[in-house]
Amino acid sequence: MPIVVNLDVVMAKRKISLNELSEKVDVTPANLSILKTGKAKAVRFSTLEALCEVLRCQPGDILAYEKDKNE
Amino acid sequence: MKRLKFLCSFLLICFFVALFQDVVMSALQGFNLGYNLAGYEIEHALQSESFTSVSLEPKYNAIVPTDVNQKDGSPLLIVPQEASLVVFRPAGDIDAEASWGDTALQVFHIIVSLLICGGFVFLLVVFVKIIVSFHRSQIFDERNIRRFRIIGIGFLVLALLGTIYNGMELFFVNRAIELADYTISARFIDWDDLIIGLIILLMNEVLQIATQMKNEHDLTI
Repeated sequence: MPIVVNLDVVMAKRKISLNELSEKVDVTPANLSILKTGKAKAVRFSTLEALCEVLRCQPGDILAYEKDKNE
Repeated sequence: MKRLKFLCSFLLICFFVALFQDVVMSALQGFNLGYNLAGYEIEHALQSESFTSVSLEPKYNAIVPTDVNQKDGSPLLIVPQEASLVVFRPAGDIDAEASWGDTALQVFHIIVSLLICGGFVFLLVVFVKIIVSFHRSQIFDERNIRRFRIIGIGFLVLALLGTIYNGMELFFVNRAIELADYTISARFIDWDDLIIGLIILLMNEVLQIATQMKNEHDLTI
């Protein structure tokens, strides 16, 4: 998928665990894990806003566009 | 969800009651008829050939009452739309007439009827699995999509087999019987099963779209 989720990178920079982040953004650890592993189909703006607020970053730090190599 | 569970339970109950009435009771009636026919054949040294579910159309050239109303003695005209016909002939005549081609046709006729019966039983089992799955709130499941597709295609196949069966039955009946007051109808295309199959396939497409939307929603964080 061209949209790449770099949530694990930002979490590592901020030194925050999955469980701690899930409590702060009010998303279950399972759903955060789905997002982190790139299996999510869509992200709500409200979730993105909460993540950016807790991780003190921009949406572009979490999400990136990488064109498929096959194309 | 409570309403869904109630509807699933009610549907299964109605379904099995209707099945009992249509299949078990019909089978018992058929057994009784066959038993009485056998007794009649032995008593009168006859052989019978039966044709079930024959569509009859009255010849309206002249209206002649066929019975009497037992309540008030007034004349009564009976207009049957569908009937079972039994032809009696001296014992040995029916077998003597049969050629290899006739025998092959009869065997093929029996195979088609067995396929239709087996097909209905198989689709019944799949249908019950779907309803049980709905009762467990497992509605948007890939397995249900496959099951509905099987039932839809199954009904289309049954429509084809039913048409073949009805066509052969019509051929056999017209070869053996001619009635003074009725015309044996040429309606033999199994429209009911065809339309049911198409409706189920259409509903399956809708269910597939709904399942896809549900999966996307589940993966929306």
